Amino acid sequence: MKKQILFLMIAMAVIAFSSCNKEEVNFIFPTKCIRIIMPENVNVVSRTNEKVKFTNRSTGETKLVAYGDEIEMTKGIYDCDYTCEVEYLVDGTTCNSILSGSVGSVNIIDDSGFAITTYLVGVGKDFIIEEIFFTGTLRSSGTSYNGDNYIKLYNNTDKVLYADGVAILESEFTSTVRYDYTPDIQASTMTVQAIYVIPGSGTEHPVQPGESVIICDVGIDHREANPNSFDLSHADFEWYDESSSPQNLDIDGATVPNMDKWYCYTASYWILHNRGFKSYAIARIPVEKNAYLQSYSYTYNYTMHLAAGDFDMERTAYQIPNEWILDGVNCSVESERQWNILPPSVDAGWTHCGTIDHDQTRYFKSVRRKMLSLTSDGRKILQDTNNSTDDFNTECVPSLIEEQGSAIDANGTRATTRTYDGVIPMNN
Amino acid sequence: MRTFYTTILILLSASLYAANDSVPIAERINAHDRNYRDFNTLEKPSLKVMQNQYSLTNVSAGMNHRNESTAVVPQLGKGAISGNFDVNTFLTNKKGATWGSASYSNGKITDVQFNETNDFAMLYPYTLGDSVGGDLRFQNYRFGGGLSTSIGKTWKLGIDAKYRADLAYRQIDPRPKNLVTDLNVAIGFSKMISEKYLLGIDICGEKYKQTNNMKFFSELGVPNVVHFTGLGTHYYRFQGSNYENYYKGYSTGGSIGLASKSDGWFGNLGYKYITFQKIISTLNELPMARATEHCANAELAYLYDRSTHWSIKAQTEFRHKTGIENIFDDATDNVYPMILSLAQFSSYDSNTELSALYGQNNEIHRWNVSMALGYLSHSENYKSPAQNLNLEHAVCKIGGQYTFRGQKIHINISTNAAFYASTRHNLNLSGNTIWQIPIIQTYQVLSSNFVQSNTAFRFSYCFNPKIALFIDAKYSYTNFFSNTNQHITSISAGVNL
Repeated sequence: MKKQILFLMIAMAVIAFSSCNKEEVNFIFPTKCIRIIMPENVNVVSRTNEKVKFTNRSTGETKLVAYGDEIEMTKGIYDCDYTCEVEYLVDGTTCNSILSGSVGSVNIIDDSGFAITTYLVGVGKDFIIEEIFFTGTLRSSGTSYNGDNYIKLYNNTDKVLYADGVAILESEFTSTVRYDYTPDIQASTMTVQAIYVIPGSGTEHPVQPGESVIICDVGIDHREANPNSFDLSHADFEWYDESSSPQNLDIDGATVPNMDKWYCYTASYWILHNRGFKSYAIARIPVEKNAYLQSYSYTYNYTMHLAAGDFDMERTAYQIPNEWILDGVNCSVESERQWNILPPSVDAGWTHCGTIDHDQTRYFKSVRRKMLSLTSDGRKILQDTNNSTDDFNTECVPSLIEEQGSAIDANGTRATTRTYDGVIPMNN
Repeated sequence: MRTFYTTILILLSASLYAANDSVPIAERINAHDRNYRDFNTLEKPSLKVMQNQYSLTNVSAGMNHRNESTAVVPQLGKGAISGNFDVNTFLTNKKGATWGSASYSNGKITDVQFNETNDFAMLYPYTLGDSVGGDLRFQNYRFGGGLSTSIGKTWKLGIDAKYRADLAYRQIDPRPKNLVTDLNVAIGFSKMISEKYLLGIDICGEKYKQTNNMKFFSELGVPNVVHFTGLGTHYYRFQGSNYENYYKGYSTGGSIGLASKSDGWFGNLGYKYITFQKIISTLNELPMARATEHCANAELAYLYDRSTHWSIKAQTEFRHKTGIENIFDDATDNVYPMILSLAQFSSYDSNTELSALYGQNNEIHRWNVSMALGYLSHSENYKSPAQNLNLEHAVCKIGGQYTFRGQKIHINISTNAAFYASTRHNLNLSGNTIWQIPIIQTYQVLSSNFVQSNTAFRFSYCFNPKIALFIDAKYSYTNFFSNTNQHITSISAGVNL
């Protein structure tokens, strides 16, 4: 009997020991230990309303706290966003703006801290991306329909802008796969696989303040091919590809002018990534097409580690320096996202349609930039803080579907509400 | 499959050989029907030889059916129907005993929700699931065997091995295909410590593996597939299209037991350590989580077995499971570096019961009545976000068994009824997500009082002193006061050798 009691005691001791021998899950994290790095050449007078948002990558849980507070944190890997209202001096004049910064995939397991580099969110001087419709629509049979993708640019300034020379860009890399690419130029450039440029001498395509430019894949009335789609025959521009694949020919819309194709990776025709794994940007490229293509190619290497072994890879794409970029938007889906392709100075966040790969709810939806306010003459002012997580409404009814009252699902249900930004109704 | 058929052939051959046993079949059936000798200690290989002094082989085929008005545990489905073929044998010899079993079952679990993994209770909380679910077809194979033999005059050696292979699948989206292999081996020694008693020591080991491979054929898209982490939480970062994962684990344990040749004291004290790891294959073999479980049990009983028989028994079981999630840095070059492990989940189960039995028997009739009082508790905790579940029940059971033994006919009827009074329950969940639905539903059912009754009937007809045909029927009814009913029925027919 003594042996039995001893055995039971040993078993209980093992249980007790194993219960204690684990790392604590939560701890108190002082947000003061985050070092906020100010932008260079900005004479900051004061910072107010400082906030830090923590997004736990493992659980999806978010916490928004005032910078300086101490909070209970679960140990783990986080994306952190910092924002504040800032007063700064320019030539002796006090200016107000927003200071914003982000850092992704930070290991927060103790109070050793980390740094967030911030950027001044300035008043926009050029076009911004208002909307991206990359998911496409569905036929009544339930099959997917391509060709009605579009990107909408917006003049958010108070002066006339010219769309001539504005390029739309798709990233070479996807947000769902990440390798160690060498040479590493990600911080200063965007690696692209598609470049299409709006033609013009510089003043041929004026865009008034508050007006948009619609750039689409195929500029036709898609309702003839798919009654659940909508009319793009009045779009401003389309990207058209001379396909070398007879089985995969592009359609050249007769009523919509084509963009200048500078480069595209595909030999057939280009469509936006309809699961939303790419980043998109607009840029003004200050060099001629041939000079650009000669001087800005980017050959990179990486190693794929697979169960079958390591494979060295080499690929070539083109690079766009960050200074040329007018606006950029990272897209991904939560379940697959690995990284933000664009650097924080271009886009510190990311947006989405759908939350998982092949999300069956994503069709008929777009990402639309949030409206901040309306001017007295009815012009909408859109939010542009260089953080698409904050700046975009996700999974909205696309603006062209709202305008045309076309289908919002495979059953042909019609859109009945019009909004400024996918959320705020126009009748308010 | 070939191994399965071979096992059945071996068992049947051995049984036919043993059918030459001089003891009439009716007496052997009668000896094996004695429910008052159901002690855990007699299941261990070192003492299994004491289970019965007579040989008996069952060859049977049957059907099983389960139906619930509301799924008690949605992850286990709302019902099930299956057919099965079983062979099991217990053969005594001069030096000890040999035993073996083989079974095959084929069926369907209906309306499985939020779970696409086999062995749900074992692998909880790290199961795979989605919001669609559906019926799940399954095929299960089991075979095993063992022996007990004397070493010298006072020692006995017992060896036991069991293997199971399970397959589960669905032929519409979502299409899981689960394969389970599970090998258990146990070895034990027992020593005669007096003319009446054997003291046995056993150790056991298990190797387990399950692979889950899901597919979707829909062109339009797929529902979200998540990797659960306990109490409705899931590994948010790896949800989506990571459809392939596997579990590998093992268990080790040991026990010390006491058994009497006839009546007297029976006791057992056991401990088992179980651990498994969940690995997501589609993320380059990412070790998402692991769980460890400690199980301790104890049993002490005294049996008086003459023309009047009575027993008293006390038994308790305690289980403590810890779930540890691994946290990973960003993947570079398709490799996720692990940065830390967090013990987020824990659960505790305990089951304590005191029971007493009284009965009488003669050459033709045997009856007994029994009563038991017990206490059951189950709790789960998740650290961040803070969540917990607690269920406790006090249990009162009454039961009885009657056996009639005629010249050609043998009848055994048993029944029992139990009342489970909910003494304490609480559930605290964080947020509001669809993944909490099965937790809430199970809690709503099990936090109420419930009654349960079980009835079994077995009729055997002895053709001659060596062969008997039998039919066997069992019915279990549970009424949860939260307005949920569960019916479980099984019927089988076969032959005893």
